[in-house]
Amino acid sequence: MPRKLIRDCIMGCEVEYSIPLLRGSADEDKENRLRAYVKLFQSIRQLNISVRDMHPELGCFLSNASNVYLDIGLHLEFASPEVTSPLDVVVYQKANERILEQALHSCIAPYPFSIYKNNVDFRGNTYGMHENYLIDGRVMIKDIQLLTTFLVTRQIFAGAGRISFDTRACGYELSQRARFICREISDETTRNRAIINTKNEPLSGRQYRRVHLILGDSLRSDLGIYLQIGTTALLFRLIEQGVPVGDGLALQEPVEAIKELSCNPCQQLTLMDGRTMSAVELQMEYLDQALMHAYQLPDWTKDVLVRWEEVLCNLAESTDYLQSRLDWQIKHLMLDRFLSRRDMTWNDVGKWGRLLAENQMPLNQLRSIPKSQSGFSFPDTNLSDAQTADMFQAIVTMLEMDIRYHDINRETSLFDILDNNGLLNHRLLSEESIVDAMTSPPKGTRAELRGKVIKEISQKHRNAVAQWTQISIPGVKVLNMQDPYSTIGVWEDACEERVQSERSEQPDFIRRMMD
Amino acid sequence: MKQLRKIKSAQEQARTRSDAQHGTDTASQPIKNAQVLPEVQARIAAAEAAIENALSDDSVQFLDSFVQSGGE
Repeated sequence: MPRKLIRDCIMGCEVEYSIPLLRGSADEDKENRLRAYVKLFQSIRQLNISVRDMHPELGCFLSNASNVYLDIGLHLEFASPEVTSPLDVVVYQKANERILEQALHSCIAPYPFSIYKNNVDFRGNTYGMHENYLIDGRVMIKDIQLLTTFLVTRQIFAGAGRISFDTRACGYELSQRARFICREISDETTRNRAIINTKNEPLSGRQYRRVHLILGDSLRSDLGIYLQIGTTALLFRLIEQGVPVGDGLALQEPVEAIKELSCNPCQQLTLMDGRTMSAVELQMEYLDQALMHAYQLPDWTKDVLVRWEEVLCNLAESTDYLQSRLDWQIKHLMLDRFLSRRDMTWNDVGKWGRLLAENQMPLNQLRSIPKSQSGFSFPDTNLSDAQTADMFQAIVTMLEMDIRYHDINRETSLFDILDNNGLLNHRLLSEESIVDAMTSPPKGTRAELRGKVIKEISQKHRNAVAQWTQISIPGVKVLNMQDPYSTIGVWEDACEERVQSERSEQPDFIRRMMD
Repeated sequence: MKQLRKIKSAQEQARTRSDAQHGTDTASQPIKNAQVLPEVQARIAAAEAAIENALSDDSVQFLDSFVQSGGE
């Protein structure tokens, strides 16, 4: 018997940004990076209406109901507000990129820095983009596991792309996150990362489950983000209704498959029943099942279904249609042109990239050692020292291009340069909608209430603090927002002791820098 | 469903092509060289010049400074 949907599916994303200082690593230390972050954070607060985050000292909620704060590993995390459609996820990701860009331009830091929306450095450190889907609390993990094969294969349209050092790839792979996935199920995020993360912190009543997926890539393309979130959200809608979508499509080795597929998008994957299918075919199966139940789905899913089919059809036919639309294809084409201008191949990239990545010595030291004295086995022994130096230079330039693609500064971002030169067709949003979302919350969830209240109290009550389910004016009143769908709230008398205890956790070194 | 049948047929063709190309540069298989119009070529040239300008003078120093801590 199909279950009736409780309400609209609430969704959102947490994006971790990298903020490197633009100087040599020898001079970089944690305190300087923290100083840069403090300046950026102060700039964000000066330029935007905000209320301080109750938990991390360096964090705040903005009038667009997003949350920005300093996260593990000195990454800046920007969490979107709670929204009810994938297009709104795109709008708020883009609006938050603009907020960061604006803050970056007006920020005077001791050392210049940039902000990148990617998931990996070339040494193999990773940071995440977490997706959240609020669904019926009665849905069990075994039901969610029906989507394992979908999640493994969706990288064919939701991969950010990266230069790859994996011997299975040919210099390039689809996903930035695939190689860091080593479990099918786990509740951990900093190690033992899984295809399905079982952490369940609903930030609302027990009737809900907040599915928290950590395997996805941070994307720049509107269409990529839209499909990444939209296809996943619509399949969760079917799972909630008891539709066994994906039944019979379980893979024999899903963890291995996600890595194999990232290196080779045409890889045939083996199912539990012994059949082999490609990623496109498996995605088609999910699409087929979703189309059969389309009448049970909300209106926003119609456009997602059409675009999903269009993308799969083009992937199946190997057209060039997606080279201007999806991140991994846009980046691949950009790098491919660079290679062809230098008469190099992707095999060169793989071989030389491995040499640079596997050696832990700073590149600055590595390049200064003559080939004959380096002690490394260079991939191509026939090259002269000068040719070796040229190859080295080409590879490091490509590695920089791979990262610069994800710069959120539109003047220096390679993605935005391609876009602004009219070479991309990824856009789904108007400029007005992005600008509006920088200051206004989305409609239809408690984010609407949060944004409205932040606008009302931020000037008058500078000591106000917020968290996802509450806004407090210490010693005065508290607004509880436990219901994620409620756009109205009632203020209650405050419990002063609790707020004071939160403030006492403020670390000394951060207080000093804030002064 | 008619559209899906069309897609399934395209998939079969893609699979045949994929089998024939097995062992080659698989990551770039879905990418074919398009015939490029002159105005598009001009835009590509402009973008490539802008990309060149956006890159740092020293990619090695850029990469060395980009080493991040793990997050999440």
